[in-house]
Order: sequence, then C-alpha cells, then structure tokens
Amino acid sequence: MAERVLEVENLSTSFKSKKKVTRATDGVSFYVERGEMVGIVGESGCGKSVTSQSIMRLYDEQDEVIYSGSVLFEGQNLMEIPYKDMDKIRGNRIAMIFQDALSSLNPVYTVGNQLMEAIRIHRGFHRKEAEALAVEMLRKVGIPEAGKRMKQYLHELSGGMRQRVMIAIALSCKPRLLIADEPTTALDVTVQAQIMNLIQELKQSENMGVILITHDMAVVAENCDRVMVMYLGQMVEESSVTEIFDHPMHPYTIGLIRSIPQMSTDTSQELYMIAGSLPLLSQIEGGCRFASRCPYATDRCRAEEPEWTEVSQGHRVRCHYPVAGKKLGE
Amino acid sequence: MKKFIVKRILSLIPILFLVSIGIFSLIHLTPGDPARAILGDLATEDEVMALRESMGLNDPLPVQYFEWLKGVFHGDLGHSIFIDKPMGTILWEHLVPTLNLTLYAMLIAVAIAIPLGVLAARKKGRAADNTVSALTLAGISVPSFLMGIFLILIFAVKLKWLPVAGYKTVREAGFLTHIRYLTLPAIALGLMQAALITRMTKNAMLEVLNSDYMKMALAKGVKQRKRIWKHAFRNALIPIITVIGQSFIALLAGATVVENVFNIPGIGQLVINSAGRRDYEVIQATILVVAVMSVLVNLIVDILYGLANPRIDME
Repeated sequence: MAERVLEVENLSTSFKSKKKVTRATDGVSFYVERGEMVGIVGESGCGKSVTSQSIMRLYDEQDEVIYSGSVLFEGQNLMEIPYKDMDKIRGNRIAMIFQDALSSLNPVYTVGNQLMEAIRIHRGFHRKEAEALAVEMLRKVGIPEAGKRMKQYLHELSGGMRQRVMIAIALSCKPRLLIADEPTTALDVTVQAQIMNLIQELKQSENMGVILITHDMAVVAENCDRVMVMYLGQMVEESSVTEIFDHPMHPYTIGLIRSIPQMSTDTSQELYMIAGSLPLLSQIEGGCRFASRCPYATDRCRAEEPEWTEVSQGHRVRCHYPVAGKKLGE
Repeated sequence: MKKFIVKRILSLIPILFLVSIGIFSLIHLTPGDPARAILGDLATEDEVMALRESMGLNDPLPVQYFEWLKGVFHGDLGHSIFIDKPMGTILWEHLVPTLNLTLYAMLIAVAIAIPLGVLAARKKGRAADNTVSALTLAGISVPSFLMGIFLILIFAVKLKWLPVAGYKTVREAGFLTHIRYLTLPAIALGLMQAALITRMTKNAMLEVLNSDYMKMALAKGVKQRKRIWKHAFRNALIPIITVIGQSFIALLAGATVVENVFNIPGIGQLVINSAGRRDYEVIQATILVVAVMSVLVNLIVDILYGLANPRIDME
C-alpha cells in the first residue's frame, strides 16, 4: 500500500452567522495516497469545496468558521497547529488550483510576479533564481514564449493559458498534495482535456496526491483512481472508480452516472435528471438526507439516518438499501 | 503613454472652451454695474456712461467675450480695477496659500483615511469598524467652518498650541511657522474629505478582500500583511485614486470657507473681496485659473488611474 499523504477523519465544518450555526459538512472521512487522484463529486452546494478549503483552513477562523475532526497531512494534524503556521504549508506542501483563473489571479500583477511570489516565500530564492524557476515552470505547463509571458498581465492571456499559469503557481514549490477545485469547469471542452492531461502528467512526474473536485462524473471516470460522492455535506459513497461505475450502490450515485449524456444517434432519448433539487441545509430533518429525492425511499429512510457502512473491500455507502449490483441504465 | 497623455490633453480643449463661456456669462449676466461700483454713488450718469464706454462694457457680449478670450490666449488675464499689480502677481500671491492649504489638508485626509478604511474593512462588523463608521459619520456631518471654530477654541484659545488665525509665508517666517499657521485650517478642511475617503477605502477594500484572488493569495501561503497591502490594497487603490482626485477639487473649493474662518489671504478671499467690489476681471481670471487647475487634477487622476490599472491600455 502506498503512503497516505492525507487522512481526513470525521471533518465537519460549520459556519457561524449572527443567529445560528450552519453545519456545511458533516463527518467527512477519506484519505489520499501518493500518486493517486481522488475525485470528490456532487452537485453545487454539496460541500465539496468546503471540504477542500477546510483542509487548507482557508476560512476566517476569527468569526466565521468552526472545524471539528482531524486532517492528518504527512502525519501532522493540521487542525491542531497554530493558524499562522498554515502559511508555511499552504502553497508549499499543499497547493490549490481554483475553478476560475480569471478571478483567482491578481489582475494588477504580472504573471511573473505572481509566479515568483510563492517561489520566493517558500523556497527563499533570490530574484534571479526565482525568475529562472518561474520560466521553467511556465514551460513545464506548456506555455510557449515563457519569457514573454512572465511580463504579461492576466487580461492578456487566454482562458487555457490562465489555468496553466495557476497550475504553474500551484506546482512551483513541488507540493505533496494538490487540490484541484473544478479546474476545468470554466474552460472550452478541447482545453479541458489538455488541462486534465497536464494535471495527470504532473501527478505522475511529481508523485503527488491529487484531490479533484468536480460535478462531472465523466471527468472522474477518465482521471481518478478513487472517488467519493458527497450529498448535502455528507459522504454518501466511496469506492474505486471502476467499482463505482460497475456497481454503484447509492441511488444518488446512480443518478449522477445516469446523468452523463451518452453519445447516440437516438435523439428521442431524454437526458436523465435527478428529481427535485438540493434542499437547504436548514431544512434537513432526521432520516436520510437524500430521501426526499430518492425513487426508492421508504418510511425507514425518512425516519432513520443510515450508517456509513463498508459493503465490500474499499467500497462504503450511506444507504439503508444499497442497490447492490444495479447496472448502469437499469 | 505619451499618446495617451496627448490625447487626454487635446480632449480638454472643448471642456475649457465651455468653461470659459460659463465664467464669462456668470460675471456678465449678473446684475450690477462695474462702472457704477468703481465711481461710487456720487458719480453722474454721464460719467458712468463714459467709463462704461472706455472699459468696452457697451460692446455686445460676444464681442466682449472674444476680446477677453483673445487676451487670455496672449497671456493677458485682464487688469484689476482696485489692486495696482499685474494680474499674474495677484493670482500667484493668493494661489500659493490656497494650494499649500489644500495640499496639507489632502495629506492629512489621506493619512487618516487610508489606514482607517483598511482597518474598518479588515474588522468588518466588529468594534473597530463600528468606531470608524461613527467617526466618519461625524466627519461628514460637521461642516468645515464649524469644525474650524471648534479647533480654534480647543487648540488655539484653550490649549494655546497653535495660532488662532492668520497666515505667514515661508519666506517671512520659515517653514515651521508656515506649517503651524496652516495646521488648524488644514485639519478643519481635511476632516470631511478624510471621512469620505475612509468610507470609499473601506468599501473598495471589502470588495477586494472577498475576491477569489485573495483566497488564492491565502492558498499560496502569502502572509497576512502582504495579502492586505500587496494583493488587496493595490487593487482597491484604483477606485481610491478617483475619489482622492475628486476630494482634491472639493478641497480647493472648500478652502474658500476655511480661509474666511482663519483669515488666510487665499484665492477664496480674493474672489469674495473682488465680488464685493465688482472687480470682475479678477473674478474671471481667478475662476479660470481654478477651473484649469481642476481640469489638470482630473488629467493627473486619469494618468495615475491608467498607471495603477494595467487593464487600461495607455497606448
């Protein structure tokens, strides 16, 4: 078994507002091995991004967020170290790429400036060394004329280029763990494939763990080794990618898989949709959180919350009636 | 860059042309006869008519306007009826106190506003933010002449730290005395603008602090101080520059009132006195110079804005 870079244990993130505390994610547990890509899937608002940003402790802890649980990163519990020390880990040993490079990069600094910043902070390089490495990183992520790009601003680059720049920044300090939060959602389909290939390649060459956050099961199928499905702040299913596509168990997972558009000439076939929409976190009552949208829900589902249970080696699910062996499209 | 500036300067020509018409109309369409004002109540109607004729006041207004404009283009801003000095000297003598007062007030306003605005944005909703909000509300509500009187009572009359009123040039009394005389008026003038700039800085910072690139900076491991000043403030600066430019013009105008309270022989005093005795050429020249100055300030703001914002194409 490969070394585990990250082990998240029972992580819950709650947000405080004036009157109440809202629990955005609840008891999330998973791990990432070196050289492995783990997908976190689910609809918008299911807690994927909250989970990943909690791992890096990106929320304002003074008056916004309460964490519980532990995040073991290379054996160190990140939830227990002083907040200030996170500056040494962020961007250095754990790096993140965001969905929208246009809004995630600073518009008033050049590509070179932003790229060299992380390098100089974490590696203590002088200007010249940092510049050389920055140019090398730009080449590595497939940006032509790297020297010229260094002096350009964000608005002078195309969408794919910007995403590459962000990846270059994230990887410039050789992180052990990369969190990619919907890295291709804002891009053209052709560019999407290029960017995912790039992340794959760099994952191999740097032997780092990658968490890929996406709502797209097709991206997961092509890229990930293992996958976790989240629904309303909880994990509902976890397994290897092959297993989850062959034997999806949670009705929500089945719905997600069936929602992937199929290439066919039969245009009369309608796209599959999961009925209903995501309820608000505040509307959750007892019972299974998916019950209101689940075609198989029974009274038991509405009354009693299902346990997180392992149904076969490495395959866990949170459902009273895991639809064992249900094949895609049934 | 050069092209950008030249283009901006060329675009000022129609503006200044309109301004000149405005100034001219303002003076010549207001009731009251300068010739009568000069000669006094005892002069006969014939004497007044003769003076009007010799001053060119009987010509049609467009003719008078173009005569004046011709003079302006030749560097001749007219002549004062009451002050026996070249117009340039009159303007310069009164402009220097006003400009020094304005710059000093601007400096005070910015020095107060930027740290407070940034602080309020960072501590949004907490005690520090609420205190700053209360202070800015007070700052905006108290007019500068009232503030001036309070300041005189406290710091000049009671504490005797600073002079009550008056003005000393750098040449006659040295820089320090010059500054001592200008301090209370500059505070009185600057506080309201400080309040406005504080609010603007806070809002601009709040918007920037919530942006994705701030989260990215955090995720890169950039330390707090650098995140605030390098990543956030540098972006917030773009709207702040515009507000500071507007403030500068507001200060220039507001100086008139404060000069009156503190008895500073600036442009404000010159205009008020000249208006009282209908010394209309002085008024025209003064307003023209102030108008040109505010247009120039706008030009400078535009250039700074372009320099601060790489998304603006300066070519």
